[in-house]
Amino acid sequence: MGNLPHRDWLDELLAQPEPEIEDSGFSSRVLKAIPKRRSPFRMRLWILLICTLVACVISFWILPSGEYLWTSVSEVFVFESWIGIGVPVTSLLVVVMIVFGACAFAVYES
Amino acid sequence: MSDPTDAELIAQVLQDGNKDAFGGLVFRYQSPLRWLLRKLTCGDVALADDLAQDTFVRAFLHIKDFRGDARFSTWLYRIAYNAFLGEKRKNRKHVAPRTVENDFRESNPPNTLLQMDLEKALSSLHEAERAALLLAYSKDCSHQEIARVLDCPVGTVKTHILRGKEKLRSQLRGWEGKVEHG
Repeated sequence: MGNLPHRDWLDELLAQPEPEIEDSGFSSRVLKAIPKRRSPFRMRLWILLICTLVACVISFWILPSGEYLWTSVSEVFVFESWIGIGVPVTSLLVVVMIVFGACAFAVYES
Repeated sequence: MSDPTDAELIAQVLQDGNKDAFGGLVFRYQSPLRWLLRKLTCGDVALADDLAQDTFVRAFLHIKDFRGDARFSTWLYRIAYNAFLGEKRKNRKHVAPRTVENDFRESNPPNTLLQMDLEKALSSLHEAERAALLLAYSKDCSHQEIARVLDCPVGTVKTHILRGKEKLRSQLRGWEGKVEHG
């Protein structure tokens, strides 16, 4: 230690060299303990965007018309009867599941 | 062909998460880090090795945070010290200094007994004092580096070292003349 001007017996005692500790597989254990890297953030963002786009395509173009989704939402909120609510709720659930599935896939550790 | 420097190995890890490169760093620093943690944990080898492993894993996961303005070893020691403090807070373990039986004293050479008394005295210090002394003397760290490891001002580091030495001197008073004269 170069910070003290005078070294007495205690300084010499404390400054005795430390013994070398054998690796004995320690480094290997450390490397095995390191978790796998998550997929890069950029890739997750692309996955999320693409799946959101797919969900939008299904919602607005594949379904009968773009108005279908809005009609479904309004029917859910108007709620005239349980019989009529099944189809709009199902269609909304499909959209929600696709978006949630995209989020889950995006954060899934490969 | 010379061994790669710490900076070269770190660059490889940063570039593509090269585990082999990080393994080189682990192999290089496992001995001094485990020794430091064994001293901090007052000789608990299993706990020290667990903390050392945890330290290296955290270092790998946060390698991007290493700015390169200090030695890699200093950065590792800081992670290790924080891991040690976290473990202490979690378990609130008080590690009692080891005692030495009288017959053990009679049958062992003075150097061994001196080392045991030194370890006993070190284990009685506050962890910050112990860490400051170990880093200053065994790791040859500057006061600034120790301040970075302990996350405290340089003045506090100096106080820890002075108080730690006073306590050691008091506890090892019986060895003073014997150590000086060999």
